[in-house]
Amino acid sequence: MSQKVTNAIKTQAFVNFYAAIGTLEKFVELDEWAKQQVANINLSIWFNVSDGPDGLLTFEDGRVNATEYLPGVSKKPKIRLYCKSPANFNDVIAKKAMPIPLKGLFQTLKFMGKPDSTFSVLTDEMESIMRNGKRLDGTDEAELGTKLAFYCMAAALAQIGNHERLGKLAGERMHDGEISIEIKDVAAATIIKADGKLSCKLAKAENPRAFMIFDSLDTASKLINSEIDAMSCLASGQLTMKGFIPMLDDLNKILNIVPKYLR
Amino acid sequence: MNELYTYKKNQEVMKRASKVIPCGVYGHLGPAEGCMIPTSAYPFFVTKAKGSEMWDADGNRFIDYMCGYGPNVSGYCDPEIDEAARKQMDIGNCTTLPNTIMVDFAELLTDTVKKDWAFFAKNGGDVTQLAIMTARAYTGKKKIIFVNGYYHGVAPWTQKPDSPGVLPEDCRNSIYVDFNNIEQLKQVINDQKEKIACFIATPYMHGNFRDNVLPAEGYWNEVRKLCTENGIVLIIDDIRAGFRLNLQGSDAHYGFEADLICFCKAIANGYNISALCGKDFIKSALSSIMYTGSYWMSAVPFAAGIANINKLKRSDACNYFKTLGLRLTDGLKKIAESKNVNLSVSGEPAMFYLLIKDDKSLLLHQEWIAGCVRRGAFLTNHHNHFINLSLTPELVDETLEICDDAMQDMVKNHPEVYSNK
Repeated sequence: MSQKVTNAIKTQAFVNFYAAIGTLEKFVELDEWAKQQVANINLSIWFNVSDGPDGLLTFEDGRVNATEYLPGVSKKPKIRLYCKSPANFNDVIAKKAMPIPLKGLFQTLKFMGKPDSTFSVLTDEMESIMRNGKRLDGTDEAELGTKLAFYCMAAALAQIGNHERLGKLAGERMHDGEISIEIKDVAAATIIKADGKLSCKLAKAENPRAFMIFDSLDTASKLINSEIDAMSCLASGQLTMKGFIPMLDDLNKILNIVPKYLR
Repeated sequence: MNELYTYKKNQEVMKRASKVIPCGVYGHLGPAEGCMIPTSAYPFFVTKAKGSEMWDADGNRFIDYMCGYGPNVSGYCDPEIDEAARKQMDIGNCTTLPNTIMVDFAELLTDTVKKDWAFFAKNGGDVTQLAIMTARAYTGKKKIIFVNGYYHGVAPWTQKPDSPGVLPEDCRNSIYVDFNNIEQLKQVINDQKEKIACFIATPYMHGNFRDNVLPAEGYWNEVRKLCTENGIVLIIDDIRAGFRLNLQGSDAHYGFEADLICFCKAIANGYNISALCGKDFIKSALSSIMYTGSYWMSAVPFAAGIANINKLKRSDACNYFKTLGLRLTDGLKKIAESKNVNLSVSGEPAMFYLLIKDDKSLLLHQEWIAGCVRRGAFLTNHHNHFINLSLTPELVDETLEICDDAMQDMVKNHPEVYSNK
């Protein structure tokens, strides 16, 4: 039992970094307000999570990027935040705990130490848009909310396929290549299987072997919120799957697990 | 060029279906598991079928190479078989005690497939499940050897541990080996001999998304020998291939003898019945198992089964399937060659498998098959096809014209692939 809990907590930590925080990449790209918040920030933060995601969050030239921290390869971070465990990191994300700044104490306090710090404001606003389709001030942002939830789902897929107890079975079995996940003419992400691992690119696939295409934002929204299922959408033509279907079979098995980690 | 079919009424019925039936049409007959890509190229419902043809909800006519995914072996609505079924229906079907016709059918079936006994159920999964239980009851062991890429139904033990609704524990006794790999099988048996109850496999690999693979020379005799020497029950899942390669069963076709063999699809030309047949030595193990179902001894399918098997025997059916399968696949190969399309034809001619191999995504293949369907040849993307007794050379030739036309269109749409070939 404890092993299962540990696996779920660890998976949640990877989802939190690459999907929950990682979606900032698209938020600042798609939303003018968010873009302005980071316009003058050049900062890299190493979330150093023991037995969890060693993630580097980079703010540079108005863009945000969440990647794996690779010692000696990644740019030297200005801030290093230590979490003693994946559970501790999950508490940080849930605003129930603070990480230990091992480097850049003052910058940390300025950037994320208070409710009105840039990082807190950005993530709170993004969460509100994704969860409720509204900004914190109540302005409707349903379309942006669905797009962000879509990117978040795609990023979570890769992490669940790499780390979750059952998701790993499908992830390991999946053939090499790219899967294009699209909301037709609106948004596209790519799941890549290579070198035994899944990764996600929040952009259109270059050379996809398989396609999963939602016909509209509405369909994508309902599917992400578990209001409809993929198999029924196929029958109604709201969802198109084509190409090397075994990759999509495995992806669907992981997709079934995603809602558990994006609650 | 033939006019392309449209499916307005099919789609209307699917909308109704989706409200009251999960997935609209679930399982292998549905758009998801049936790999209907794109779904807009396919019908979802038929209104009638006869011989080798079917008509969908919009009235479109198809030459059908899926044969209900196997059961249609003598032709849809075959007058002789349907008449036998009707006669039985008039005198009793699902009764308190089984009708004597059950014994008539058991005698005919065991004589046909050269086994000692037959146990009847309804679906393929009923008898693959029973085969495993019988092997475990007989050996007192629990592990099952599967061949990678297998399909033996939808019970939890046949699925992967990450399939929805399946527990990892359901698959804990599964061992996986590659087809045609005797050394690997020897190793597995050597490592776990004391725990292995059975080896279950189809007679050849007729799986999806890859070329179908026939047994290598001597493979089955070697498997037979290993099973006998190590007290492992050899189970052949002949649900798909049974009565299409050899009326004695596919073990006879490939020159060996299974301990247990599972039949279903083609046994009664669409009347619902399945059978587990086996050797005497294991009969008492099965007798000890409580295994039954509400409709398993209904008489109508027995009557249909007798008429069907007699018709197949009289018609030298398996040779006919092979002849027409070759007529079709040789024709398809010529068409593909003429257009520089790399079409792979694999498996047995009676159950041919098609795959265009000019792109890793299979999109070209899916486009070609969709074109065939929209012109009236019902093929499927990633499953083997079936020949039945009512198919005629004329229908095969008509199919070839359709496939040629659809392939021409596909090639024309992809100069980036075919202009320099």
